[in-house]
Amino acid sequence: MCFRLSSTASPEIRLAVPSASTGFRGAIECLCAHDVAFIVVGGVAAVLNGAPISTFDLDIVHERTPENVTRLMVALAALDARYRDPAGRVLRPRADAIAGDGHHLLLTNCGPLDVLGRIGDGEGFEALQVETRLHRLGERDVPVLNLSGLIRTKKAAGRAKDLAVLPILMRTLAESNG
Amino acid sequence: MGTNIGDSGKPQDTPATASESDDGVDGDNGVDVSLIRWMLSLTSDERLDVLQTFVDGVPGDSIGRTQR
Repeated sequence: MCFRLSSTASPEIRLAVPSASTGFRGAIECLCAHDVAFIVVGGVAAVLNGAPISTFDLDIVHERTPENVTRLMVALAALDARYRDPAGRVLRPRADAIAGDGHHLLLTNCGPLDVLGRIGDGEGFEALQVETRLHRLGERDVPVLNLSGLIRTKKAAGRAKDLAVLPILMRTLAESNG
Repeated sequence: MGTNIGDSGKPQDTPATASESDDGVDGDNGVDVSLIRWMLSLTSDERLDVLQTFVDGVPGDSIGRTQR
């Protein structure tokens, strides 16, 4: 299981663990293999909760403690993460930036990965945990924001692309409760 | 994000409710209820596979996956 409820563990630098998988599954497996505390949010979370929408990137909100940022940086190195730069420059994420509450739109060898400090109305890892449920993916239990949390944070974000999927998310929630 | 995944594999035995049209689409907002029910019938692993299959069907250059 890769869900970490606390950050009491001491920082641990590990060797990069390559993933045998690719795509969303490969990125998730890599984060779990490096014991990163994170929550899957966004479109992939919606799909895992049963909403029939499409997305091309994996969005995560990570715990921003120094120990977890260290683990995340090792995982990002294993994924060959760099910023999605229209000019084609290879710009690597820095730990001090990842420790902040901004959004980092990265490209990895498992596809686009958005590392988000806060989402919605400024909610971070700790606040989102109460609306998180574990989903079994392969041999791992992966923390995923539930439909209620997705609907609430997308309403708060208020962007057109977030609002566009609300009818699907709300009907999926109704169907899953019914 | 923001579009329905294609409807391949849509179940044929899921009846539309009274508030839906004959094709299972919610008349108020165009949501395909039969597709939602099909997705809900899958495991999380299977749902992720559906999404990955959709993404893999899009050429990498069109979404920047091959950027170096």
